[in-house]
Amino acid sequence: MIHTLSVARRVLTQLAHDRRLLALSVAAPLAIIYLLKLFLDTMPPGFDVARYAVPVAAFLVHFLAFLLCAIVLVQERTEGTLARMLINGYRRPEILGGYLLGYLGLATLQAVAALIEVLILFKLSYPAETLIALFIVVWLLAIASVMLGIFISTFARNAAQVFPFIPLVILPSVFLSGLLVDVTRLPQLLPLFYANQVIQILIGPNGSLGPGAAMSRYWSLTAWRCSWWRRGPWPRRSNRRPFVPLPPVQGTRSNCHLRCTHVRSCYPGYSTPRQQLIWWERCEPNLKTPKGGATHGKLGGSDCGRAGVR
Amino acid sequence: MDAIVVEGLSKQYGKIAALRDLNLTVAEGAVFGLLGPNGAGKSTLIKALVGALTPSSGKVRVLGLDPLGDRRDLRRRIGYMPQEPALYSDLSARENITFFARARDLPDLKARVDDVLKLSDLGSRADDPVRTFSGGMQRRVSLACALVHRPRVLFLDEPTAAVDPILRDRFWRTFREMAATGVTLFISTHLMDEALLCDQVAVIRAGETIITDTPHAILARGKARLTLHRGSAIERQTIGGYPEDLAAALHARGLAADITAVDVDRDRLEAVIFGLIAPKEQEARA
Repeated sequence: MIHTLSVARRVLTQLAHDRRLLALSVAAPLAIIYLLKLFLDTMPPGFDVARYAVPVAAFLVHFLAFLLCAIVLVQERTEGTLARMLINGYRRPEILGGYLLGYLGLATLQAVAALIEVLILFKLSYPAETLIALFIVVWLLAIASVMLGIFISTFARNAAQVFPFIPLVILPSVFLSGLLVDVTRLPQLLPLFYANQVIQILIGPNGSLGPGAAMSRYWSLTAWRCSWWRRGPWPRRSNRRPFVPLPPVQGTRSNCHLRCTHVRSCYPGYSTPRQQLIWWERCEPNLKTPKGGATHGKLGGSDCGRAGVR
Repeated sequence: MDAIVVEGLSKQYGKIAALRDLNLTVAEGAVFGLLGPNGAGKSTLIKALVGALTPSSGKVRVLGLDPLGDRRDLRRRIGYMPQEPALYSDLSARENITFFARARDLPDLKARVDDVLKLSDLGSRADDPVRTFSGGMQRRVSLACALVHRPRVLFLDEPTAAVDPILRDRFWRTFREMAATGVTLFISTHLMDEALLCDQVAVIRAGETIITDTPHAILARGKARLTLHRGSAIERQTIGGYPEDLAAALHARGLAADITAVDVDRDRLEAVIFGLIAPKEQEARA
């Protein structure tokens, strides 16, 4: 643990010495959020600005934390300091832990600055509980981003080789986050998907989960499920049957909440047949999956399509 | 006791053999010079010795420990100065040395850092960022990082490359002083004249050992060209490289009083080593 803190301290000292990097890392998301404000100002009245502005703040922290961590780690490798650290006695988990802690410091600064700017610029107001939960979600997303940066850095042998990974990670993150399209039709693949999902709940009507719940739900969603590895992130084509829409189910958040554990089951804003099915499944404990198990709290997006044909 | 033992060490990078069946032993407290041209496998060998890479085959022991299996124990006892400075340019010399020293869990960290800073003679610049340092100063900081925990075996990968003669001389004096205290130094270099400062030298080429001997024994393998000025006549003779060969040649001539000057042009160590490498190069080309 002492070695982990030593690496984190070194990373933070480097950041403190490089004031230009520190200033740019905080100023860049702020500038982008301001430009987003100029764009969203052109939208017609009644447009849900918060739906985009808050996730964009999270996305910027995600992007910068990922990029900075990946490039700095590749530099460590090319300049020989990584090998030197290992030969001097720092172990791999200590180095990774130190990087995580160090860059989380910067990500925290970015998250606070970006969220405050979003709240001020877009004149959004949430209860303190929601704000804390939002911050925690962005902060947890930053952990995933730093880890993603560390992961990507293993494929690059020099800083230039990181650049192809930027669009490879960032563009799918945006496409698949649910920021642009309906979240339920997307594969649950990248961290931003989960962060956006929780953010939408938090900023939605009656949307406060509370910091503890946000944290646990985020992790339950972000921990890419073991089944992901078994069957891949997408539904198996061979098992898919035509989808039969079910009639809309009327329900309220309060009467469902006690019986459901899946985050989407308690969200009353579903309108598509698939969303209604998910809603219905979550509120109907006797429904059986094709495998014969109870669906309650266990179905993922890929299971719902199969369950719907019965 | 041998500080370093290498037996049948090979390292393969795809189709390229970086090291081929290498055998070495280095006595404790010796200054061992590893000589060879660029790409001979010097850095690969040092990395295998410090446990930074896994050999394809063979056995390596440093202070009786396996660099990979006994990594934790060994890393407390060895120091490594890589070929490149390998420092954090945003941090000061003191911060760099302190960071690398923290991995060793030293009890008197601050005192040790002050000691090596004094040794590296950075003066008032110890707290300046390393990026503002000259190449030589960066090498000194890099050496200080390798020395701070007082290792028993020190691996130096081309420590004097691109270093001015004054600093090189200071480095070598430091190395000799350390060897006098029982520290084993394993130094790679492609500067042949530095080999004369070592206790033992191994010459490698294309991952193979060509010769392992003391520098003077290697030097003696060369020839000396003897020129005798007798009146207006000049006599030239090629003799062996040992001092005894010169004495024998002069005694054969009775060292007459009319011999006014004797010039001996002995092969430099560089020429001897090139002479050893050249046949291998020709074989490789053939």
